[in-house]
Amino acid sequence: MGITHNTVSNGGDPLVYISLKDAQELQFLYSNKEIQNNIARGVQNSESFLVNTIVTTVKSGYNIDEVARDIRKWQHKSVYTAAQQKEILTKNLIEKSSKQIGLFTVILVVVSTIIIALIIYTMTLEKMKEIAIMKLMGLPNSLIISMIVKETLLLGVFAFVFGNIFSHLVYDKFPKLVVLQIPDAWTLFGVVIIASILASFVGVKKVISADPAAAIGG
Amino acid sequence: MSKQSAIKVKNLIKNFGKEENLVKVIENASFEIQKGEVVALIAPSGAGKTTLLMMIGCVLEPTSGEIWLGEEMVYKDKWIAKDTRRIRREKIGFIFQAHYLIPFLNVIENITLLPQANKVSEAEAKKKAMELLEYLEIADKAYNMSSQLSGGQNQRVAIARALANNPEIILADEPTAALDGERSVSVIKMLKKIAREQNVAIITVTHDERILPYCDRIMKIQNRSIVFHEIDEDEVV
Repeated sequence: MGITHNTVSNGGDPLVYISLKDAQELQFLYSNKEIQNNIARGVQNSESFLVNTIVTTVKSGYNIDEVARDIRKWQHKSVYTAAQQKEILTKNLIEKSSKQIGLFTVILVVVSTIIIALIIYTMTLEKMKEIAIMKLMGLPNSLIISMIVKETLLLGVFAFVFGNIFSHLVYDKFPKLVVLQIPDAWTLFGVVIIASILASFVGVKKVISADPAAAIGG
Repeated sequence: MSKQSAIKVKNLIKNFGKEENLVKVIENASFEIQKGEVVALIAPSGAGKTTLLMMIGCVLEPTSGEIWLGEEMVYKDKWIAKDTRRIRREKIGFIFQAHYLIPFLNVIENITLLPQANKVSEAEAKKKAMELLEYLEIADKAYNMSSQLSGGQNQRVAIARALANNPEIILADEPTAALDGERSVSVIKMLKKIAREQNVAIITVTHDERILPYCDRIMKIQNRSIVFHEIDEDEVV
């Protein structure tokens, strides 16, 4: 028994380890609806004999799936083997939650990439005269494009740094525990760099199409 | 003054459109400009000044004719030079109406950009840039941003940028348009000094009559042809 660190339930709630006896007391004496109703009606010392789970161990030499199949024939009973329970927990709860959050992250990254691309496109449009002049002076496309890509990367890195600082300032204000891990931050950094390079393509396309003749005259 | 040819144009023709939409802009233009010369290009709007400047600057392809820049034939009925951008980078300096310096680079970085693209080492490019800034009396602004300089100072930096690659030719598109009378004369005097001392041919498009007396010749486009008018030394105030 005690306080746990960096451990949460699959729903993200804090977790506490207690003995089975205490757990049953908690569930049946203090939080059972029947007991609560009885207390509300003035009935004292009511007890509940409800049992919700029985954990059994199959002796060696017996097939666990066959035992489970036999028990399933009894009425009002559901049987799960350890492997099935593990699958229910990981597939149905953790993996689905993980996929849900992952999909949200993908959407946010795509939206961020589009926003960065639009910013870079606007910034490139504002610099079209300068770009036309650089092309007129004979600067190679590669040099001009490298400037656009560097600008986009700088924008991405700034966004990553400020985003991280902001996350570290507010993460403990979330209703459920949020764990910020360094490997995740590095992965995000990689994603930001890739997204920035993709976003710079719109600016690069504009650079390639810039007409050096636009630098001369009106 | 050295009598080396900087620009030679023979039977240059430029038409836009085809058949009933054909517009003739330049017809059989032939002329030669020597190194060390300052030539003012004047003509009414739409007469073809920019078109001529762009053809000499290897930006716009003529319809036919010949263009020589220094010893190199760059155009004879088609581009001879495979990489016209390389020609511009190595032989031509450009000056514009406004300075158009790259705002996020400081003065010296703006000047060294082109030489470094030409594979000149950073140290060598910086040394040359400082010499140019001293020559143009603006060396103390080497590490300033263009936003910290006045219009006249920025135009001097733009001139230094145009000279950074030791060009044989400078093409200036109304370089004094954004300047007042005093600064305009100061800039054209500076261009003339550069032309003489650096042995560079300068063609400047202008509508500013105040600077004409400081040029060696005036090139006019009249009825799609090129006409030259010599400037008398006595005309210079």
